[in-house]
Amino acid sequence: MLAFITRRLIYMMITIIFVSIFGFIIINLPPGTYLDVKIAELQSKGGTTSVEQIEGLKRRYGLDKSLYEQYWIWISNFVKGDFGMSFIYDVPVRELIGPRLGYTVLISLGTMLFTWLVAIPIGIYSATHQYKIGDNIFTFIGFLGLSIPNFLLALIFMVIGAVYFNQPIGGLFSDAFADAPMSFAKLIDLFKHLWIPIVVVGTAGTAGLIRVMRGNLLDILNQQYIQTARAKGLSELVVIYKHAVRNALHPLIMTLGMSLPAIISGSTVTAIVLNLPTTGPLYFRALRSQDMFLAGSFLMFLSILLIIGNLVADILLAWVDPRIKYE
Amino acid sequence: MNKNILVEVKNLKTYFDTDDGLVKAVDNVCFNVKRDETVGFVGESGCGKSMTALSIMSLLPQPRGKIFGGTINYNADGNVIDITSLDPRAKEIRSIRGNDIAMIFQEPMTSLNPVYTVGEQIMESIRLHQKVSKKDAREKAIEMLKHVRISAPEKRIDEYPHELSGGMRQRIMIAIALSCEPKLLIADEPTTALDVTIEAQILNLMRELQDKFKMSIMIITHDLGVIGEMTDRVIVMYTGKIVEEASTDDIFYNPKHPYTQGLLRSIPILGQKKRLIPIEGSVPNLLCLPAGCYFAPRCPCAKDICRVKEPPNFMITEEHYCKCWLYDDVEEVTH
Ligand SMILES: Nc1ncnc2c1ncn2[C@@H]1O[C@H](COP(=O)(O)OP(=O)(O)OP(=O)(O)O)[C@@H](O)[C@H]1O
Ligand code: SF4
Ligand SMILES: [Mg+2]
Repeated sequence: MLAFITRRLIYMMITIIFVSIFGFIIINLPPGTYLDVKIAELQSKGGTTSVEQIEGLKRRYGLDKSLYEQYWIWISNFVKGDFGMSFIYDVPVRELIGPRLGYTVLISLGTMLFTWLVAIPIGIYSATHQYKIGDNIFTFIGFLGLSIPNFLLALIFMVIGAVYFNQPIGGLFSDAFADAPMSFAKLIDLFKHLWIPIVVVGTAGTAGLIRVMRGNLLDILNQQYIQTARAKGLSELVVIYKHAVRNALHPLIMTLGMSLPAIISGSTVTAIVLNLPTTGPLYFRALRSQDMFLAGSFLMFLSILLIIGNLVADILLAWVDPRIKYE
Repeated sequence: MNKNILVEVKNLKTYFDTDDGLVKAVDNVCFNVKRDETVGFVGESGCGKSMTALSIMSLLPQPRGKIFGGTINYNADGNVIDITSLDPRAKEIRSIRGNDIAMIFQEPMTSLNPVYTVGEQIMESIRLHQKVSKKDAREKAIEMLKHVRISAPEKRIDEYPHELSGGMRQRIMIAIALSCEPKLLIADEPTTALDVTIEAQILNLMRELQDKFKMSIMIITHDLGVIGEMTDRVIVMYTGKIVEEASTDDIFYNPKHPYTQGLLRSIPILGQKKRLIPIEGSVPNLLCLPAGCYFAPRCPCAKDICRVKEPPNFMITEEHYCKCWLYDDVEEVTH
C-alpha cells in the first residue's frame, strides 16, 4: 500500500511538471502580454517613472528573456512560494489566491459531500423500489434537477431568499462579517451562506448521481452472488447493504476523481451569479486579460487539487475492491 | 407425513404475472424428496426446473414470480412446515434457507461476492445460523475447505474469489452450502459451466460429501450423463409439468414417455458411433401452449386424443409414473 502511494506521488510530480510546462506555454501563446499593453499605454502618455517601474518588473520576472528562461524563473520562484504579481490587481498573486482557493476547496468538498449524502440513499431507495411511486417521484425530480441550469437555480434561490426570507443572498459572508477577522460568529455566518452555493452547484450532480447509483444497484442486484447471499438466509437489508451497495459504489468512486473538475468549472457561473469569492471568476478574468502569473498560479493549484482528488479516489477504490492490486 | 420424506411438493403452481399474460413456469407439479436420496431434474431449457427449485427456497424472481397454489411441506424432523405459507422475506424461511435447505448455482465465476474473502463468505453463513465465536467460525470454515478438498486451506481462506479457478469457486460454494449441514442440497446445474475433468471431480465430491453429511440432493441438469452418474430417481419436466418420474435405471432402460425417449436418443454414448437424433421442433412458448398434450406437436407417437385432451398421470409401477396417453390402459393417478 505504501509503495503504491509513493509510486502514485512520483507520477503526480511528473504530471504537475508537465502541466506547468504546457500551461505556461499556452498562457503565453496569444501574441502580446498584459505588460506590453500597459507599456504601450504608459508610453503614449509619456510618463517615465511608470515605464521604469515596468522595466523593473520585466527584469524581475525575466520577461525580456527567452520563454525557456522565463519558465525557469517562474517555476523556481513558484516552488519557493513566490507566485509572482498580478498585473491587473497589482498585488502579489499569493495574497489574491490564498483565501479564494480555500473557499473553492470548501465549496467543492461541500458540494461533493452534499451530492453523495443525498444521491446515494435516494439511489438505493429508488433501485430497491423500482417503478414504485417513490422511485417515480425521485426520477421526476432528478430529471428536473438535471435540466435546470445552475445560474437559473442560483437566481431562483436569490429571489426566494430576498423576497421571502428578507435575506440577501450572494457572497459567502454578511456585510457585517465581510472584513472582520475569522471568528466563531463569522464561521456560523459562513455556513449560513455556504449551503446555497452547495445546493446550487450540487443539484445537477446529485440528480446525475442518483441515476447512476440506481442503475448500478439494479445491475448488481441481478448478479448471481446476490442470489447466493439470499440463499444463505441473510435478511434483505444485509443483502442490499453488505453485498450489493459496496459493489455498486465502485463505479461511482471511479468517477470521483473526474467529478472534481466538473464541480470546479461548473461552479464558475454560479460563483459569478452569487458573487462568491472563489477561484472561478478570478481565473476567468485572469485568462481573459492575460494576467499570466495569476492565471498560471490558478492553473497549477487547480491541477494539484485535481491530482490529489484522483489519488484519493484511487486509494478508496483499492480499498473497496480487492481485485485492484497495489503493487 | 411419512418420516422418510423430507420434502413433499403438492400441486405447486409457480406463475409469472407478466405484461403479456400469466406464464405458468411450474404448473401443478407434485413430487417428493426422500431422506438421503438424490433426485435428478431434467428437461430442455425453460421447462421450469430452476423455478421449481427456487420455489422451495422461496427465492423466486421478484416482483413477478409468485406461488399461486399448492404446498411445499418441509419435514423438519417431525415438525412439518409449509414453505408456501411463509412470507419469503420473513425470519422463519430465512432460518430454513442456508441452514436446512442450501443451494448452489450454475455460474461459479459469479456466485461469490468479489469484495469479500472466501473465508468471510463461509463464516457469514456459519455465524448466521449458529451461535459461535468468530474464531470458532473460522476454524469451522477451514474445516469445510478441507472437506471440499481445497489445498492449503489456512492460506486460501483469506483469498478473494478472483484468485481462484472456476472449479475451486464451485468447491467454495459447496463449502458454504454445507457449512450448516443442511438436510437438502439443491444444485442447479452445478457443473454446466465447468470442463469435463473438473465436472467429474465436483460430482465425485458431492457424492462423497452426501455420505459424510447425510443429506438429500436435488440436482438439476440438462445432461443425462450427470443424471446417470449421480441420481437414484429422475423427474423429467416439460413446459412446467412433470411428464415422467421413475428410478434412474427405469429412465435409462425402460423410458415410457416419448419425450424422455427423445432426450435419451439425443445424448452421445461413449464408444458408440450412433448418430444423435435431436428431438424435432422446439419447446413451445409458455404463453401459447398447444391444446391437449403440450408435447403433441413434437411427438412421433401422437394420437388424436393427444391434440384435444391433456393426458393425466398414469402409474406404470409403484415407482414409475408417466403423463402420456400411450399408457391409458394402466391405472390413472393424481400423483
Ligand atoms: N423473471 C421472469 N419473468 C417472467 N418469466 C420468467 C421469469 N423467469 C423465468 N420465467 C419463465 O419461467 C420458465 C421456466 O424457467 P426456468 O428458469 O425454471 O427454466 P429451466 O428449466 O431452469 O431452464 P434452464 O435449463 O434454461 O435453466 C421460463 O420458460 C420463463 O418463461
Ligand atoms: S400424450 Fe400423446 S402427444 Fe403427448 S407424449 Fe403421449 S403420445 Fe405424445
Ligand atoms: Mg435453470
